[in-house]
Amino acid sequence: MPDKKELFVTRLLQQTSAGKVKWEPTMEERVFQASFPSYSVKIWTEEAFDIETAYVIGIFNDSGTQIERMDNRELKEAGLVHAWTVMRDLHQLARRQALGVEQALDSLLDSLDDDDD
Amino acid sequence: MTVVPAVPHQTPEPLLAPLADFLTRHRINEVSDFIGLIITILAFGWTICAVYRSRTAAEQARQAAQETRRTISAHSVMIDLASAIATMEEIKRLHRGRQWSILPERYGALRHALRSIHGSNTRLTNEHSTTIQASITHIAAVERRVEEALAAATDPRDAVQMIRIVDREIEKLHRVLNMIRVSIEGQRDA
Repeated sequence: MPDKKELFVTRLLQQTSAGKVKWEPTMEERVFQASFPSYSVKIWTEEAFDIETAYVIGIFNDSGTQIERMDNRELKEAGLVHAWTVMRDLHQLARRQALGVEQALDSLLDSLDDDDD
Repeated sequence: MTVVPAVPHQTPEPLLAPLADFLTRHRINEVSDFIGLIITILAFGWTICAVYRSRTAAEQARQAAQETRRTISAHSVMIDLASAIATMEEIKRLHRGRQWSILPERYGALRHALRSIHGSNTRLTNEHSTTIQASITHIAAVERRVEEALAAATDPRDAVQMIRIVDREIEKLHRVLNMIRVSIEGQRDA
């Protein structure tokens, strides 16, 4: 049976890919937040590890207090083999969704199509 | 001693015998039995209807009372949300005035108010709860940033971004407030 954190991150990535999780920007540039009825989740990067950027997920309760923290190294130890890739993908998807990158590209492509006409 | 002569005892059977005979001959006893049965069935049916009607009325009264309670608490949530939005507007003014030392107290009060609305769970859909949860988390982050700046005796970083976040949360809470208002008005008109 997969570790609960591993399951959580995997499912979060699946639901984000399916567009079912709404990410939004926060005060900090590379931190993105998704909220649910009773908890919020944030994902951010840290330059803590020697070789590569670390990806971190924090869970916040209904008073805004961080109650859990997990990074790619910890997730790998818990059994998520491609933890770094999964977390990087999740961070990228969250960023694109929070900043509205897809809408911006669609709009720009529409504008460029109009210019062709 | 005088002896009173005994009066011969007359049983009622001989007296009622002609009546019984008459009833039997005209089958009146059977008819009356049948009418009695019909009356009993009708009375039983009427009793069941009366019980059912009273139960329905009691259920309707209970539902009306519940609906009234829900409407009152929805109004209360609307008042609390409006008050939280007013606090957020004040927070924006304090930010612009760089009144950092006053802000943690306001943030604390705001978080407490939002948490209380979030916990009341009345009329809040999952979407409303998610919006309020998001606001609490954003406000807590801004509050931490101000606290850190106060501890370091400096101005907080990203002060402009902080106002933007508060502004965005005000807009989102306004939307929740309007949705609750529309829902109450819709029910009132129904």
